[in-house]
Amino acid sequence: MHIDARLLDDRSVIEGDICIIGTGAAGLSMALEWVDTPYKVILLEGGGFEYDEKVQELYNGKILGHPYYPMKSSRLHYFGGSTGHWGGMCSTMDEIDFVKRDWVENSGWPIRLEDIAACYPRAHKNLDLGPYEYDVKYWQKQEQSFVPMPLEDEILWTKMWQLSPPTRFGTKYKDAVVNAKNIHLYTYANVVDIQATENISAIKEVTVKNHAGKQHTVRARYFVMACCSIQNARLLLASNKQAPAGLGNGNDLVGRYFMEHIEIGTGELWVNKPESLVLYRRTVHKQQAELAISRQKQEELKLLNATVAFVPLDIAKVMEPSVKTWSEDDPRKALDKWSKYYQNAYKKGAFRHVSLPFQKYQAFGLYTRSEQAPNPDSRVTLSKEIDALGVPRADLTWQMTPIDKKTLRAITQLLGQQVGKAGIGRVKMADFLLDEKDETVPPEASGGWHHIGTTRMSDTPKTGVVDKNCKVHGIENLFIAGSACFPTSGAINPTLTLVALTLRLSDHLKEQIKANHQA
Amino acid sequence: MKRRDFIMTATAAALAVATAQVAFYGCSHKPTTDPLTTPRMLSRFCDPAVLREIGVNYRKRVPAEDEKQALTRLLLMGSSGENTKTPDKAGLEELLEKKIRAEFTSDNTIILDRWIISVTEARQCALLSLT
Repeated sequence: MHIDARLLDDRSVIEGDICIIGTGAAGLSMALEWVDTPYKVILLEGGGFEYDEKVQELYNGKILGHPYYPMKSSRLHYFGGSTGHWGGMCSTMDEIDFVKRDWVENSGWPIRLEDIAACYPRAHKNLDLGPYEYDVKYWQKQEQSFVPMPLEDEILWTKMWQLSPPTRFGTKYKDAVVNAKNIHLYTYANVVDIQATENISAIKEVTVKNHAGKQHTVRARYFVMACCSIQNARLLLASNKQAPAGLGNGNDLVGRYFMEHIEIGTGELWVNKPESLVLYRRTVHKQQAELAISRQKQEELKLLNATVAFVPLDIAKVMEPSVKTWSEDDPRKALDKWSKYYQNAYKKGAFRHVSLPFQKYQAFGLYTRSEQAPNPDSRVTLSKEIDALGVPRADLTWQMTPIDKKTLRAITQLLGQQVGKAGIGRVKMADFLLDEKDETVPPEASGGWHHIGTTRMSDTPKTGVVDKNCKVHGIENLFIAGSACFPTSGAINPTLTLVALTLRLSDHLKEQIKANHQA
Repeated sequence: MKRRDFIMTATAAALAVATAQVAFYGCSHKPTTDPLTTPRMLSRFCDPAVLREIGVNYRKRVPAEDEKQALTRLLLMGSSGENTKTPDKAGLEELLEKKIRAEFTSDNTIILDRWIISVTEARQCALLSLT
């Protein structure tokens, strides 16, 4: 059922078994798992079913580090969250993404790929993806023109992606949520504070507010924060009446280790047989491939994980870095400006050769997407500025380290060596990679709108905010869903994995609530 | 309009209005024919002026090889450094191709004018720049 929190009597008290804060991919995936269960689920959304400027404005904040998208427009604040503007690219993480790597400080998850593997096919359904198949051989059987480049898998391997329509959760799952008798969706219910028990070992209630001036209290046995990496951290840090550093922040970790995927053009690929790249073409099929650095090479050269995609060069040459074209605070204007930029490029003739079939292109821009090493100084902090509901705003310092740059250079160089060895082409390196001594990532390096980290998962509270079940260390009934829990980012877009991890959390909560009920 | 939707729409629009161009856009030049001064693969992608520029930069980077005879001798040397008899054109092309592949395999490459190329290709460009 749906309740507009603006219409409730002021200072209402809402009670349930589970309170889920946020209705993006994580929050709604969690809620859907509880439909028709005997438990009363309180689902809180700060906005409504449509875009609301005043609500969106609550996400405003400052960018203090490496240039980044405006805080206000990089996430959507209404039912469905940022699935309202996501691109839909999905793939699975690799085994190496979960292990402790000696050359990547603060790497290593307390779980392994196999611990979430069973949840990936379930996440596929939520995201309207195809069969749970990421082996290139499977896709070759479906489409004969899908031929991997003749490179050495132990150096660069062909990694498959699948494209979601992309599923807009707010549209697709609205009826399922609103019609569920045990799901109580409250819109215009912005959580502004979390109150713990006296000894801060459990959460007692949360306070919600809206622009109508109403304030309510929500009590539940379990609380799941699913507001995205930046807002989760903000809310924990701002809930500091009982714990001055913020909830779950006894070790000064909340907000730290913010990660993105570093996305940037790293050069050009020139090939003598362009038809061999059809498998790697973007946007035409619901599947596509990229090249990824093998585990062996990551270990040998002490690199992060990274992938590289190919964009026809005449298009790549007119593509401005996303961080420059997505620069408006208002997410609608940001999209408009982005669209106009391409329209202008078209008018100027940038796409004059686009009539050629992909197979006829000989040159491609290298679009590299790299994991970012966990960095405690890359972080979300509280601003001195307060939003309209009285909560300190979040500021973001996105900061990279030398291994990030090293990886961008290495994948480009490995590709150059591999296509040279295979006799299929040559690679031209981007200017910013030429100086090996330069460890800085240039300002045009953009992110993928992927917010990762800030409440990282770890076995101990000294090194992470949540445990392997996404429970906040030291607080028995507070959980975090989403990519905020990722200790490392892997090289792939996080949505599929964050939904899978959320489903795993849901399974865990079901076991726990059942066990407690029986006890 | 969403990001990916827009790309697809823009692409479709462009497809509708643009006229077919030459095949292999980007490759509008013919390679020269002397194998010693013609890095076969690279010359498909770069015009002679660029190849010469690469060659000039190689000679600056490796002054010990800034001389026709030295470059010719090194180019005619086998993959293992042994001296070879001067082969015919086809044999020479085969020898150079083999060396180039071997250099990419052993990471005996160099970055010149942003191109990641084998040392043999760099020497071919260098010799071209001296002719």
